[in-house]
Amino acid sequence: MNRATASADAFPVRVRRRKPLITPARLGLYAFLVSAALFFALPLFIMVITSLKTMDEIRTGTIFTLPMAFNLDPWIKAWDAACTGITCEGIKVGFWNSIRILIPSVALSVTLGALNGYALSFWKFRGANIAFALLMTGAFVPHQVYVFPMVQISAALGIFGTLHGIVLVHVIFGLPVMTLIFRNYYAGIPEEIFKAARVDGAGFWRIFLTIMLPMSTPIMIVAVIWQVTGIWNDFLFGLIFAGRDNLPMTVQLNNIVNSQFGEREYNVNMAATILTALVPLFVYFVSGKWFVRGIASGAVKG
Amino acid sequence: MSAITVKDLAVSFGHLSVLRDLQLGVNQGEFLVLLGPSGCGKSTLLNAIAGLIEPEAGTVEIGGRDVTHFEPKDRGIAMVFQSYALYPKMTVRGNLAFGLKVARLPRGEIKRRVHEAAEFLHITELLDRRPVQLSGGQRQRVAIGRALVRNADVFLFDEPLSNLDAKLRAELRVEIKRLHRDLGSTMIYVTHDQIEALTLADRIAVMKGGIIQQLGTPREIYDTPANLFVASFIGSPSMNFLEGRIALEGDVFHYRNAIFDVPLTAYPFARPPSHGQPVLLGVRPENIAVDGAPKPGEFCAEANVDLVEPTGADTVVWCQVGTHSISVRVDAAQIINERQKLCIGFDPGRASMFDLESGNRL
Ligand SMILES: Nc1ncnc2c1ncn2[C@@H]1O[C@H](COP(=O)(O)OP(=O)(O)OP(=O)(O)O)[C@@H](O)[C@H]1O
Ligand SMILES: [Mg+2]
Repeated sequence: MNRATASADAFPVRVRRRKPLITPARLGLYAFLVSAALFFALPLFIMVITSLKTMDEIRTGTIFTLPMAFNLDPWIKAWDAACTGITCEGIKVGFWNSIRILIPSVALSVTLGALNGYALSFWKFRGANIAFALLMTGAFVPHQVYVFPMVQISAALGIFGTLHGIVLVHVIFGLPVMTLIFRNYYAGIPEEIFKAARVDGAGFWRIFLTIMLPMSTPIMIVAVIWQVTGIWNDFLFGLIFAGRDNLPMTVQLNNIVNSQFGEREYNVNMAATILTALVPLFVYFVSGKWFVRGIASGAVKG
Repeated sequence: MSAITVKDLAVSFGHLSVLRDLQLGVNQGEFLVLLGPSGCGKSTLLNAIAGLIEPEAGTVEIGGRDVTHFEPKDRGIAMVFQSYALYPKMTVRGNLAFGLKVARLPRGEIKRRVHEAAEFLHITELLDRRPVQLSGGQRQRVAIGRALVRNADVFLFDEPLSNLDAKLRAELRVEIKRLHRDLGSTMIYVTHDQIEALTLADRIAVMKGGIIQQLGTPREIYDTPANLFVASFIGSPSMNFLEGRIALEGDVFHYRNAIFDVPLTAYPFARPPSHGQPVLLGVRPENIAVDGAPKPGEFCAEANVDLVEPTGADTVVWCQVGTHSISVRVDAAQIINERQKLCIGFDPGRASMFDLESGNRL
């Protein structure tokens, strides 16, 4: 790049050589990218146009045509009035349940993960490696294995089927990965910073709060995105542990789609599905850049 | 009075034993340098004194108190690290003030001390910058400032200059010397740079493999190294070593090999050698004289000049004596050409004699 500009400055016109825009390799590359994009975008496209059609229009069987009129009624019904089993208050109930589950679960699991990672990488207490190994088995054994014991434990604690119950489950299952992410990040921070803080007289909490946390922004963003999408998309734990009053959006969506009163309302189902997927999509669009940056960045600079 | 006393110290990491039975005493106001090759345990010793590593055995006393089980902050120490270790998210001011805030000093006092330290180190105009906005030399000044504000009795430096380029290193070296002169505090300074060690130290402890090989003034270390390791580690170009044997003639010991036969009347033997004992004779390049007519009782060996290296202040001449390659430092004014023949000699009183087997000084 630099050389090209330098020589272009020295010899204003002649020397500049353009690469041809279209080469066979490039054509092939674009063909692949476009077909891949179509493959993923087509279902989304069909969902969006179907959600905007009336049932009459859907019945004519023209899946791929654009809606004749821009009709928001299915969206309103999906949000406000669709039936999830006996009640017909729409998916908004699930949305707010999910929010109530999401916020404490993400906050707690990320905070505890950061704390764990910090303790494991800097305070080399006796048995730290064993504790870490145990946590890691937790991360790699399928979570379904733990469902039955967790039901018993939360029942014994008296929080089975409550908001506390589902939050506890999410925090526990989020902890191994959060700990791993933060531990690896903190392993990249020079130990001498930690030692300097100890000589300065700071203890466990002060070092964590005033020195390590402020250095953790990139990895915090990664952790939050990870947990938000994971917990929002959870179906199984929500169904089992949340209890009837707290069923998350994913479970409510399933109830809407599968409740059988007469005709299937495809437009409402599509609208409800898109609404449910909106939160993780939004998170990715807003912070995807930060996600990549956070994963790729080391801890030392900045 | 002894400011720091380390007794029977042992430190190991898992199965790796880094320090064993280490003894060290540092006097009040002394500048002690720990010098040694990479991995010999210098940082480990410093960290143990600072309380950042739990020793396996032994005690550490600072200022007459047994601090073996004290937290770093309660030991009355301040420390400067090789990687600067500044807190990246705080300004320079925040870095300097952090320890004082932790100690809950009054705000006026904090402000005064930060200001004083900044003034002393010429970093006042940097106080509102972040560490990323500083050059390496400025960062290390801030790191020194952070140690300075603590008003500690003992300063510990772990290779504070080794990340800097040669010019800055020389500059900050002078600064540290000034700091020591003005504060008069006890300082332990880790380095593997012998120039730093020789210029800064009141005493040097040369370490190898977790063991202090010799503890002495720079002169003692340089002129009378206790063993082969110390002799070859210090000095550039390093000391010349010549194999030979001790011979007893009448009541005079001689050093003898195929080329040399040197009477050792002037050599201060620490312990008497035995006849026929195999030894290494060590002589520093600047202690070899060329072309001086041998005085009575001296000797002269013929040498072929191989290579001449002018270094500015003086010239290093590499020459061949029999099968030995010997370096000689001569005055820059002295004209010596390659392939020239020289007569070289040295004062046995300034040479070092080592037992070939143990490597210890005789
Ligand atoms: N935290 C640790 N865990 C395991 N081994 C360690 C640890 N710290 C140091 N060591 C080992 O202890 C030995 C001494 O290390 P130390 O850092 O004291 O050396 P050093 O003399 O300071 O070297 P350098 O000049 O490279 O800084 C080395 O062999 C090193 O590998
Ligand atoms: Mg070191």
